[in-house]
Amino acid sequence: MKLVCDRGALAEALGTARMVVTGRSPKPVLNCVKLVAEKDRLVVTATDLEIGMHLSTSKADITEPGTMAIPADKLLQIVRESTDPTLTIESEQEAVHIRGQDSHFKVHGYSPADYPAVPAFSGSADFVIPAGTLGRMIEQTYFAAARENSRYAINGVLFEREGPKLAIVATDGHRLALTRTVLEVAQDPGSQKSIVPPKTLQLVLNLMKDPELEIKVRIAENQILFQLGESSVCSTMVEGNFPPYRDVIPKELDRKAHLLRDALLSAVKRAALLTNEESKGVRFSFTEEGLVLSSRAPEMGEAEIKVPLSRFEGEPIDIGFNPGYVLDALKAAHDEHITIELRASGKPGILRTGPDFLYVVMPVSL
Amino acid sequence: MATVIGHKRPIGQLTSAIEQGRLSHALLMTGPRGVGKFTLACILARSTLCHDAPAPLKACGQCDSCRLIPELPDQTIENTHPDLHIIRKELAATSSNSILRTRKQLTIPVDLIREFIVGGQTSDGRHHDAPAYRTAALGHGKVFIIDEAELMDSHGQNALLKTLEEPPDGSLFMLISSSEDRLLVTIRSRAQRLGFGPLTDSEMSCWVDLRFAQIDPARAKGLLFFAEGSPGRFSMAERYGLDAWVRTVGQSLRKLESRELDDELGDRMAKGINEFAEAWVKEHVNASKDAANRRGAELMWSLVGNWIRRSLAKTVARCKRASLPKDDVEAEITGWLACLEALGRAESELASNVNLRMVTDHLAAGLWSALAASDN
Amino acid sequence: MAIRILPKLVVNQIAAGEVVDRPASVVKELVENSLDAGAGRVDVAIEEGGRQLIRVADDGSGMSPDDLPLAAEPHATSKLESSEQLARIATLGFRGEAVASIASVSRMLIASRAVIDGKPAAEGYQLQVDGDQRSDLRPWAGNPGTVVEVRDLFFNTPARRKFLRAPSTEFGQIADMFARLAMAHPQVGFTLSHNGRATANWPRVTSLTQRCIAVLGEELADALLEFEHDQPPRLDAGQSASGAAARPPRVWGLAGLPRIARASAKFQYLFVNGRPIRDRGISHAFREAYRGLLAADRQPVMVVMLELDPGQVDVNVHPTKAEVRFRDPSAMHGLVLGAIRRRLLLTDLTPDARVGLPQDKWENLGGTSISAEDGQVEGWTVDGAGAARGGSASGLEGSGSPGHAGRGEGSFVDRFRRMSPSQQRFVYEDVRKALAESGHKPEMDDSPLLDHAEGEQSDETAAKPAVESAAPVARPVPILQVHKSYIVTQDEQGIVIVDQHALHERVMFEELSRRVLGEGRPLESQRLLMPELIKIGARRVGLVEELSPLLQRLGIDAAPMGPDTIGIHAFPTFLFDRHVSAEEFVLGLLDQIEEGRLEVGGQTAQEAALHRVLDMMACKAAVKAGDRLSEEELAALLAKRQEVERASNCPHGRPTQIRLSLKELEKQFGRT
Repeated sequence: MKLVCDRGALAEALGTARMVVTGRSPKPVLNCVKLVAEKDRLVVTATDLEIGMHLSTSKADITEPGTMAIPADKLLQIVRESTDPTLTIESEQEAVHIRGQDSHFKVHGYSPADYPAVPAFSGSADFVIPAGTLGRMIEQTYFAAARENSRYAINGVLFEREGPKLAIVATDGHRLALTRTVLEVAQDPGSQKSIVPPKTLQLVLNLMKDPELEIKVRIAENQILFQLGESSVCSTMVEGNFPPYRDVIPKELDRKAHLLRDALLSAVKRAALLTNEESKGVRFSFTEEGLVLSSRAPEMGEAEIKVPLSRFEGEPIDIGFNPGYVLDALKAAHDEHITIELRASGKPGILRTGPDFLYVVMPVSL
Repeated sequence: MATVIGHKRPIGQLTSAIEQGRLSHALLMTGPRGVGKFTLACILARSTLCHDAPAPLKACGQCDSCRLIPELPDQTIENTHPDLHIIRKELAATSSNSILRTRKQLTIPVDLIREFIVGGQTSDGRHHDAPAYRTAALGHGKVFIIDEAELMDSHGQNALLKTLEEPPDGSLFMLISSSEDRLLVTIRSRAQRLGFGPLTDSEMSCWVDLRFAQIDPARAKGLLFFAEGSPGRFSMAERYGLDAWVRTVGQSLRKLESRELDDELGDRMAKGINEFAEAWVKEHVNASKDAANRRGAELMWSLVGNWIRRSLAKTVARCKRASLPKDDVEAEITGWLACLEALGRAESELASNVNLRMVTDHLAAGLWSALAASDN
Repeated sequence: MAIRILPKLVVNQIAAGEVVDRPASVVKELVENSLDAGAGRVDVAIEEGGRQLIRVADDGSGMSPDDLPLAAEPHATSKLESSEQLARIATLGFRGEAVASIASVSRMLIASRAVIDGKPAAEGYQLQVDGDQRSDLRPWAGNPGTVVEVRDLFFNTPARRKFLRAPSTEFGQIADMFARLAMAHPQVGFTLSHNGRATANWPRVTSLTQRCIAVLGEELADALLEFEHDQPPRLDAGQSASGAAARPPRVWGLAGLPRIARASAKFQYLFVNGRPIRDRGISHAFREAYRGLLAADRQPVMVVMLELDPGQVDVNVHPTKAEVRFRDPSAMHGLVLGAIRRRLLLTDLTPDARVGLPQDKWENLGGTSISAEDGQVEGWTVDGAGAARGGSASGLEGSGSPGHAGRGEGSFVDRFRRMSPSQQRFVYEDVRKALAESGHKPEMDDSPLLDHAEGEQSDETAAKPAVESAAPVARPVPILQVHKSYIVTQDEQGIVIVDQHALHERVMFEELSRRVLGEGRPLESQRLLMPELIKIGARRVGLVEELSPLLQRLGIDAAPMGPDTIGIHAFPTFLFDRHVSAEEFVLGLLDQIEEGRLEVGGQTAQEAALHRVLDMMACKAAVKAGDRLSEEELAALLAKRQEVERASNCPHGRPTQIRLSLKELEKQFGRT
């Protein structure tokens, strides 16, 4: 194997690879990335046995194809610390030489034959989605996934597709985020479900550079695979049944407030200043005159912030919410106009923006 | 199957359960240390994960899965198969928690169970996804083997409880323990129990022939002293050259037979144990010297115990052959029994953290006085 | 005051009963008589635990030859003439049975030389009573005052005699009784001897404090807080039995610091109008006043003297007068509780840490007192402020309690162990390392996904903000977190070391109880999208329904969802924030109730249960040893010390902080 590679491109690929290769495995080869020099490109392969990826760059000039497993952290450090625009990488038996203008490293590697197989994206995609759309959908949901719920399924993010309709859902039992889209390119008419670990989604987000890029997704029996241009990610999924999320989306909410996202965002942030450990909640008082947020922290003080409503339908209502949950949703809302729908102070509320994003949040009894 | 010698009963139980499709999701394999519980667990794992298993406990040896698991697994098997999760105290060295990584490995802390099996927040504040609730990477189930399961504290066992009760689809949990009484009743009641016993002498020699075909028969004989029906102990004795003990300590013991107290007996025993423990600690990162000492002492006691038992047997045989005066024989037998008592004392002294050298000296003196008394 | 035979009516009004059950009660009756006779000095001599001899000699007013024979007559007393007077009893021994009862079960010699108008009578007289036989009066040439000798107690009631315990046990009880009597009468000198050996000698002094300290042991002097309170509590004037305006009650006492607390309530002394008594209500007030300052199995050292208008208290409910009945028990409870608590709140209860090497050992150490070898500081001790070291005459020795520090040079280490078993290390090297680390603030990463991916960095982000919304307080004093477990800072007096878990637990507990018990509002709770189902067993489902009012106040909404399952519909927000699992918490709570460790029935029990459960919650939610706190969090947590009552101890009574004083440092560095 011999090649000259753009240092920036290699550093970026190795940086991403480092997110799965922890460097703590007792088996040395699992602390490695695998470099595969093909005819016209360099592929960096990394895996932690749960998530695997192939990161490909064409910013490499291959003089001699070949493959090698090299300790990920050392290689990354060398590449990061170097100042050369390009580096020459050459293998010699079980070692590689990395040369810059004034430097020469010889790093011992491992036989690539021992490196675990990382499935590549093969066969046809179940659906194709623009990176911009998938990125928005992930950002609008993954924050709401549970982190350590004993109902394991909700520690992941649900991908649910019925023909061209794709929904992505996450919940932690206190709130639920749901985002939908209609796929323009949907090959498969059937329906599919998959619960994806949030960490996998973060890796995918990390690899999205071009919003126009068409991402191919395939949901196999045990794995979900993403193809992003020349790179691909495969991951195991979360076992179990995602709770029937449609059942918890309340219907017939008779109070409806229309307001501007940024105004509410700023108001909730300010109201949250005067909360404390044992009283986290902020009171939302909706009337036709507008929305008043109030909070109180014993021995610290009280806050009251007025938020204008564009419109309010229904009877006035007082309800408490954890400001953090409301802020999460507002940050994820990609639209200026939002609506909040409510029924009673002990019942869930819905925050919506645009046709695609819906957020159910359970109230706090103040 | 040629590699598993003995253990007909547990193997029979497993085979018929697999054939009838009623293999439990949780197995508890118990029995003395080193008899082959872990090996059998690995064989079962290999067969379970095999994409095309020809028969119970068999594997095709060709598929993607089989290629990741050695055909003859031993204790040093690593977690390289994505769906075979081996949990043991040494796994702490690969934890994401730096405190666990550097701590002496005496137990399987709850954090390890969380990080590598059931997920959740560990004491360093980190959150872990639950490997047990991820889909199998190769699509043919997941296997979790917990070796020395009794080293889980009650928090760890409780953390595991729920998962054992409602195991995720296609998962198999095997708990391996040489002291099942240290497992919670609730754990034991959720697992199907498979009991393992020591191998018989003929099974042992069969095993030695198979695994140590090249070994010098005299050396093998010495090593069998330590084995007590446990191939694992045989291998360990072989690895650490414990047959040297047969020469050094054995020589002193033989002197005792002629009622001659060898001043060096205590010293030799302590030295042997200590050398073993040092070698052990050197080979095992973060191993505890105390634990290694105990392991070494255990081996030393089996050498001494073996010697006592054999001498006792010889005495009885001799008395049958040449009808000796009854009183003489009784005194001699009493002497050997007193030796066994001295050994028991040494065991409990070591368990209460008495200095090793003191224990071995006390044992040497105890053996001698027991035998000397029987002469009078 | 002359002795009279009580009118029959009065006799009937007095509860009949056994007055003399053991030597200690003989001593009590006789000493009380001496005190009534205006003695300035009482000498008590005991032989064989009182079985052989009890001798009480005083220099009081004595008895005239006319009164002397009456003294041994049943129901003779010089103190009571009619039943009206029973309501206003100001002297101690109001009933006549005492001396007569003693006389009837022993061989008693009464000798007395009266003092009339300040002048001793020309001669004294003595009378011998053996059971029911009495001698004639004979002249006696003793000092002015009275001597009573009781020999062969219970000689004529063998069954009773059999029940006497070993002499040492009986004497222990005598000594205890004697101490109680002596405490209330500082103006009287007391001596006590057993088998000829003097065991107590308390000369007359001018103040109660002096006497109490003499009795409790001089070495406790600076571990006792004196308190006094004479604001009248809100008593209904009409309740005064005599109709006259009731004298406002007064409380005086000494409260022991938590560190000298004992394993039993033996060192609690309660007096009402100078009479040593026991009262469950007041004992409860003691415990209550120290709630959160002491571990559950500890009892504070207490002396409390109540002065009440005699109309406010009924002393005539117990034959040996060991108990009284207050007209308004809850007012008394509140009065005592308030007085003690106010005093404790005024006090800085931070125990001093002391580097416990005597000066002369200093040279031998070659200048290092801190051994970093195995991660422990050796030779430290927590100061009992010079207190509680060694034994004392009053039997305080050997209590060896956790709160009782200073037993040996190593007890600082012991204390550290107790504070947090996992974090005992306090090595110079680590302090330095932590100092270096505190220089830069760890980068906070707010992406929740990242700490899965980036192993090492999440160490910094892992610890949840503890006091997140509290405004950072600009404090000029340096604050340092050591071993992610202890906070080291300074105050005017020296270096203060804070146990972060214990302090946070206390702060949370106070905040929670202020809300639930103070304001009567349930805890703030988050409702759930889908109820969390918990299998608790059919037997316990009913229990959960019973508990529902209690749970509601705690912000837990739980309802049966099947024969053996309940669903949690809402759970306190702060517990969610601190990752406390609802299932684990509810199961733990049910266990406690089933094991009888938590009483929930009845109004008062429910308050107590709330207390306990809030305590459980605070403990679970508080930052743990090992949680890294940011500078702001550290400052905010320390600032809360000022706002919170009893910040010096966690709700279980362990200290939250200890101090290494400048004085001690100077001493250790050889600067003085």
